[in-house]
Amino acid sequence: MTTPSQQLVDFDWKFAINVANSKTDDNNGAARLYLKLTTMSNNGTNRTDIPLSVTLEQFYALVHQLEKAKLEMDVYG
Amino acid sequence: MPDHHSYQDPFYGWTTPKTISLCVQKLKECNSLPLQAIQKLISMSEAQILNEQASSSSSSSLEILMKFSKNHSISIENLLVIFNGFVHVLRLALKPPAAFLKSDIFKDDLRDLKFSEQIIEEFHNILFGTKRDQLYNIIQERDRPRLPFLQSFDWNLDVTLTTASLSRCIEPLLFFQFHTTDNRCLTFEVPIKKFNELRYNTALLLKEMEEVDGKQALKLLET
Repeated sequence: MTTPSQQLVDFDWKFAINVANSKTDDNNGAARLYLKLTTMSNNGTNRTDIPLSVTLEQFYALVHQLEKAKLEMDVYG
Repeated sequence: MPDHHSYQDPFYGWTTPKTISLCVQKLKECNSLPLQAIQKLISMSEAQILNEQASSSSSSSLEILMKFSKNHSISIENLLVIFNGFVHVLRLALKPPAAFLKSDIFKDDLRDLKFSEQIIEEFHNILFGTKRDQLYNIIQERDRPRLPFLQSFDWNLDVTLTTASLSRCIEPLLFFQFHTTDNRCLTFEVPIKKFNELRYNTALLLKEMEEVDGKQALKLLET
């Protein structure tokens, strides 16, 4: 599953706690991570920013997948 | 009874519009059209104004016109002229403000246009009937050029604890999310300084709206 056009160049993150919300009040105290992935095309011209906001569970799932990938890489590396 | 022409112009304007004079002329020519068909045409013209956007209703009204032209052996062009005249009368009647056009003045004007009494009765029932508010609302809200509306407005207040570059920054973080009626979802971050400016501008706007309300020149016409 290679993406020949874009490569990840930067991974910026921000960790925040939700204090108030205009929707229902059950989200008070929920932690959120705001990620900003910067990708650049292969020949170095197009820089695209991908802003995301993930909840803690989604972030732990992402970390789990990344750690699995790292373990596999360490086996063959 | 004093003639209303001395103080109020007829609702259709200074001269009879060509659409309406053609409609009356065709009505006289096709006197084989029964009253029920005419009533159906008038109610269809009301439906035309109310749900002009729904494509299904406009195709079905064309089918109804074709059916009429077959049943009563009148050419479809004459029927279209008559239907167009009815829609035009309704639109012109909805133009002056609601409290301005009284029902007997409306009937008098229709008599000047040489419509028959039954047709006048039908028009009167439509304009002053149950759907009166809805008709005026549609003409006011829908049939003018407008930008998309703000449908919903959500905000989210977070406190940033750590970032990739700073390890202990306790900083408030405000997000706004606008949903507009053309299905666009605009999400953006608001710095606290801009948020305070927004609060100031909202208060200023509310004060200006109150002042505009009080001005003499913007009051409604005398009823």
